[in-house]
Amino acid sequence: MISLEKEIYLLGIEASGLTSAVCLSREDQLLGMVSLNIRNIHSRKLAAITQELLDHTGLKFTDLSGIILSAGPGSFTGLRIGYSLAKGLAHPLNLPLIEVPTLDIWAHQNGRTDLPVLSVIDAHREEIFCAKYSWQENDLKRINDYQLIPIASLTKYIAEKTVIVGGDLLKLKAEIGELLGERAVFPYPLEQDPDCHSLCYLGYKKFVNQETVSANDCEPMYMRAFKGVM
Amino acid sequence: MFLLEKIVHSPQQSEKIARQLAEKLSPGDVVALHGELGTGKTFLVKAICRFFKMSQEATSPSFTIINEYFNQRGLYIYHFDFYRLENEAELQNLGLDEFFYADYICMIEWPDKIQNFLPESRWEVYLNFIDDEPQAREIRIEKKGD
Repeated sequence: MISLEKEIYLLGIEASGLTSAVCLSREDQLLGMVSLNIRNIHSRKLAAITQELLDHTGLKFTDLSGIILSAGPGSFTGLRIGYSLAKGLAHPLNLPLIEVPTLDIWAHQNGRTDLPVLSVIDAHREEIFCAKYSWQENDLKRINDYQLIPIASLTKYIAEKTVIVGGDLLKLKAEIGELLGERAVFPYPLEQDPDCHSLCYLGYKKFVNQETVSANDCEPMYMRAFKGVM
Repeated sequence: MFLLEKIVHSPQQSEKIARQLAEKLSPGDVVALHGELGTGKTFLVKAICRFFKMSQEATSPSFTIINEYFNQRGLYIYHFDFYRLENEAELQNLGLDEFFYADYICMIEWPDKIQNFLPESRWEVYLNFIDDEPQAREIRIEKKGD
């Protein structure tokens, strides 16, 4: 049973893409973050910046109430490193893990809009991971399942003017813009890394709703079925 | 797109061919290296790494599966060897798409073992022995896809 009586500190880990980031929140308020946008650095720096962040904030691992993970879909290697760190910390400390789908983070961080929101992440091979959302008052609601679709099928998938957000838009914007024409509305400037504020906010909401998993039970959202031939 | 087909008679000539290929490579390219044991696949990778002045000498990744090399200009080369792969199910722990569809150069030995994972756009390099001339090799290089 999660106790809400003591002060709640949550560690957030973002390693689902290029960004290596860790953040600490007191409830849903961000206390601090360390973020690096340098490729191939997760395995070398993620644990180190976690310790650094705790040192800066004066907190100890034993002060934590849970660990929030950006759960993917995204980089296979990055997700595995992020999950390894989280499981390694959670297991001995008996901490719950809170998994926040990375598509939710992208949709949330771009803020409220009256238009529907499509969150996308590049899946390579001319495919994208995506999900649709709408803002209802100050709540972000996902309105369909997380999907892996050919990017060309967006023309059928998006019927009305929609805000397109996501992690790989620098690469995908031109193609999506061409496919959807005026139906595609892109934020300006395009954000290039998932936001720790949104990770903490969405993670804390799940934490208080007791939507947590144990270190033994958590698994990244890879979403792509294995294509090999046995 | 056909690039070249040539018979070389010495490692120096092989190195020259490797440099010709390297000049055409750019980040994002995948090179599939076909050839029996001892035909010089790793030699070709070593020569290409020398061309790009990678910080590390290329070595055979037969046991590590993947080797990573990088240079001062931020170029990464990933060198794969799938000789020991018994079935493609073993690949689910590697996340190959991240290598093949990123701005790295990927060089793959024994690519036939991962046919279903290879990107359509790639360089194909075929290395063959020449009868009665142990130092000689037939080298064929072509570009598949766009």
